[in-house]
Amino acid sequence: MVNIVLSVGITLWLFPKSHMIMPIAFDSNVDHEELELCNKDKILQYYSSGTNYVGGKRAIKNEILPVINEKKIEFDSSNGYITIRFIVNCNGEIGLLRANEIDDDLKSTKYSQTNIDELKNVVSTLDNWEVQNLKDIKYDSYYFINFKIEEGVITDIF
Amino acid sequence: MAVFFLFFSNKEKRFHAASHAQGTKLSQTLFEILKFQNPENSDIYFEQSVAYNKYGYYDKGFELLDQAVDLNPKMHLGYRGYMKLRFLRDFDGALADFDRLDSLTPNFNDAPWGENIDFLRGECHYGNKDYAKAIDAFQLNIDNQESGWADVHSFVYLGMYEYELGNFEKSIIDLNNAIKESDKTPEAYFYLAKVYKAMDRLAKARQNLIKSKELISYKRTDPYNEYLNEIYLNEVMALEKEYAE
Repeated sequence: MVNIVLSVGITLWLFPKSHMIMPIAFDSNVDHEELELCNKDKILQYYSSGTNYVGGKRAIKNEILPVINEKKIEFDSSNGYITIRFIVNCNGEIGLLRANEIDDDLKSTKYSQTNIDELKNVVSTLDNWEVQNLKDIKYDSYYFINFKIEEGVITDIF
Repeated sequence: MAVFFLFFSNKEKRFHAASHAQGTKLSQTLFEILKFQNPENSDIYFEQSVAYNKYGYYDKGFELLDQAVDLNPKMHLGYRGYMKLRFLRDFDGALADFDRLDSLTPNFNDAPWGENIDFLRGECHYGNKDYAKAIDAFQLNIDNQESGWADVHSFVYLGMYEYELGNFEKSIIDLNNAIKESDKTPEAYFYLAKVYKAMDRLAKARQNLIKSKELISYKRTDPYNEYLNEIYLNEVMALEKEYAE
């Protein structure tokens, strides 16, 4: 009897461990709208699915860096990085953006939430995604974009 | 059975299981247990960091990598420098790691994550727009190495810098050396096109763009990151249009 309870207990504890670290799911406190997913139990990483922007990271940079500069989205005189991670669904729509912010020493930090939200809004406008067919199936993918900040200004996107 | 495996099974087996299940919560749990039992084993921290950096969570990734370096600098400095260069474009951070590794291994030509240290330093200097230092680093790479993959792009980078500095004849020599090493180098043809355009030799410029376009599937590419000198088909085509006018 104890064996069964122990086994079931460990199995229940173990099962979610097969899930990936740092998952993203809809959060009404953070996300303005939901993102329709093809298979919420199998969201691939970008390097496994091959999902990418048409023209690659260079195209992303060429499209949004001018917009960021025009809107003067700046971060005081900080040096560091912001990584915006999100899901590209099987239909090439994106959503559920999350920001990870680090300083020059690659340690966790917090920049202005207003500016982070503005940056997320710009990223949300990217709409030229290419989702690969993997054995006739298209999957949802995680993807992220890095922003390098030098003296408060975004100088590179990759 | 599961408890036995998690805590008491052979540590190499558990390490391999954790590495194989990269990115899962189980993998991270296994690493935590292994670290608790073997706190001085730098490889555990290194392996655990990989998923975080691949997912863009660099604070957590580098926190683990820093611990690996503290425990065994010679083993992990090269990789950390490589990650700073390729994943974060933290050129100064990467250079600091490469220089420190070099100083710890005085008679050895290091190869962080399999790439020659001078080539990687050259890329860092390119990122910093420090062309003179970049040229020195790539030349050193060429002089030290026998023919190999890195050599091709050492020549490409040299060609790019000479172009930036306005030394067009030298640039052409370097880019042609890249093609001699490997004729399937679309980046070399792409930059040759730019050099010839700068020299007002439009016909040659257009020829080289066509060659670059034909060979685009051979371009230098990486599943995780964009290379600093990466070229794209749409860029080649945009130049074609521009040079046609």
